[in-house]
Amino acid sequence: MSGDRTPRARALERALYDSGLPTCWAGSYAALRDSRALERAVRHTAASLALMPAAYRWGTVTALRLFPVAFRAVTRTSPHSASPERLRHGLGQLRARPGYADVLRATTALALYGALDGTAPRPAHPPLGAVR
Amino acid sequence: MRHAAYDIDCDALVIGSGAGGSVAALELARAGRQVTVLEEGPRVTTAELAAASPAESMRRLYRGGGAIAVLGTPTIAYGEARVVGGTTVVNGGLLWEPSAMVLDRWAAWSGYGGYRFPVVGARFADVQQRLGMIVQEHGEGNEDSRLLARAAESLGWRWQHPQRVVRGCEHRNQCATGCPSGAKQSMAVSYLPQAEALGARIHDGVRARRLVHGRGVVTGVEATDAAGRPVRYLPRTVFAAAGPIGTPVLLRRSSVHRHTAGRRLALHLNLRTVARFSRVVDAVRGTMFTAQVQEHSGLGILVMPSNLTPGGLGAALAGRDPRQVDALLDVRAHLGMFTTQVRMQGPASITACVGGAPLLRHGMTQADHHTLRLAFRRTARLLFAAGAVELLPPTSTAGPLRDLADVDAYCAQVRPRDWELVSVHGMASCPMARPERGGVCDETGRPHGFRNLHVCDASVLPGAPGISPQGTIMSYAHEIVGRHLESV
Ligand SMILES: Cc1cc2nc3c(=O)[nH]c(=O)nc-3n(C[C@H](O)[C@H](O)[C@H](O)COP(=O)(O)OP(=O)(O)OC[C@H]3O[C@@H](n4cnc5c(N)ncnc54)[C@H](O)[C@@H]3O)c2cc1C
Repeated sequence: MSGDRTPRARALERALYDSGLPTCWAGSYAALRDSRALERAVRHTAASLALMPAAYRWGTVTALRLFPVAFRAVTRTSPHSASPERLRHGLGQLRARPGYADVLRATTALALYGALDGTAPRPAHPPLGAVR
Repeated sequence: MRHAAYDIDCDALVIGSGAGGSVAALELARAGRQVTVLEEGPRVTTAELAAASPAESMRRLYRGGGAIAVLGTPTIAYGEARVVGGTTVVNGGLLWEPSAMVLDRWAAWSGYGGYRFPVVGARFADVQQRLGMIVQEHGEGNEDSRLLARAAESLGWRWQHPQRVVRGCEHRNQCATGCPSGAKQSMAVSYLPQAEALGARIHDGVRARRLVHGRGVVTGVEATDAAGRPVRYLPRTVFAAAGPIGTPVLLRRSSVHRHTAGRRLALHLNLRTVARFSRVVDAVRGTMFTAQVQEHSGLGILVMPSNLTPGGLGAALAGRDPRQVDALLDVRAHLGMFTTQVRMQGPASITACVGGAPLLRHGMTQADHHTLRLAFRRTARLLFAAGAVELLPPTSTAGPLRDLADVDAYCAQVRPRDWELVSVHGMASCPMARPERGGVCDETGRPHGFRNLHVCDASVLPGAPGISPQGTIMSYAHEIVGRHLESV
């Protein structure tokens, strides 16, 4: 459903993993540490990006491709092998850069939304009467 | 392989199935017309909404998977749906009546006096009755709304329970990703099934691409069907209701008033403030919200809680330091998220279409920046009166604010580009007004110079009403369709 498994969404999922950004998320946010939560986060981010207008998507994909280089420039390590401290530091530095601030905020918002609101809803509770 | 276009003859063709299009579909069907509705998005049942996670629904129901960027300083995230029932499927079900003052102002500006309160108010009364509007009192949850209402009372500020179109709301707090119980009277569960019962046909997954016209008469609508095949509809009458962005894009692509359609798009802006309380608020419990503070409505400012979900909270905090995000998510039972709605003065516009997608820009003015600061100050005052111990303003680089002095310091420093803004109300992109005043449509909703083409959605409103617009849109649509039916 909702374009999750389209070839475009799968390609974006690969681009996300290759960028090392999910590793940064897992190392930085408690909500994204669990592997299933991270998987939901990546899937939702990729599937949402796949639905966005082409110009926006291309801009984001370019930023993701350049992410390992940008990360290395500020931490001197790869996001795939950095320590949790380095991951947080690297993300913090890039969040302050004009080019990356918006991309990181937008993708992290999608990731947190996907992880936290990506499971099936709670079962219905009985109707609550109005309490005045 | 390119498929050849196939033709479909039809009588009344409605493009878009949201608040405006559904009115056209039902009223035309009631009048005995043969109605075909084209809807670009899918048909989604209540059972499917109940089974899906909010994230899945977000992707399935919203255009662009959630938000479209309105470029400018700052970038604004704009949300609208793409589904049978349109944006009413994901909205809060709030139904407000436009005030006589707003309608008089629009009449004066537009040069058309036929949509003043006696006319529009009567249409609204009809809509309210058909959709079963209620006053939404506090449910068992809604602690954030209770706190807000009490704070307003302590300050002597005006507040009101919202008016909503719900039948037996179960307080599931999922309005924004589609009501899972069918209580919310979106067009998908109200007007559209009634129209279908009267013979209207809804073609979902069909996107109208271009209107074919000559000498002020639309003779065909070129579209792409759900299988990606080109299809041409040959209608007698067309009602364009593709929403505040979709309609002007369609008109421009069809060379209908291409220099004026979509050149101005009015927006309401939302500021989101996260408030921490020392007590448990459990803001995920309860319906969307049950109190709206209207003390500053004269300034175009309204304050209300927003639907809080863990994911929505995480997304709102995403620009902040991860440690702060973790700490806040840990205490989420103590958090509320509040929306301050502001009427934007600087217009947005559709500047171009890139690869079929519209490029939106806005020109927020200094006056808007000033109003946003004023709105945030009032919101902060209200939230501290409600017992908040800490506020996170809608600027990720700003730290928590603990008192009004912090708020003043924040307001003194915040720059236009620092605001993190959302908009879910776009309007007036093809306004009903005389041509010399920048109008696209005449008093019957027809683009000037056209005989069988009508516009009956958010785009036809002359301006932004300063309230949730569905009631105004539907009232206008009823009047536009009513005038058409009287004239034939
Ligand atoms: C989260 C959210 C909450 C809101 N809450 C409220 C609320 O509580 N109360 C309120 O009054 N308002 C609310 N609104 C706003 C309100 O729902 C909209 O203003 C209203 O639905 C707009 O009506 P419309 O007919 O102009 O467009 P829509 O309702 O958006 O309908 C337009 C339809 O046309 C379709 N379409 C577009 N282009 C084409 C095409 N080329 N071919 C075929 N189909 C096309 C779209 O897919 C869409 O389904 C909310 C909006 C959002 C996003």
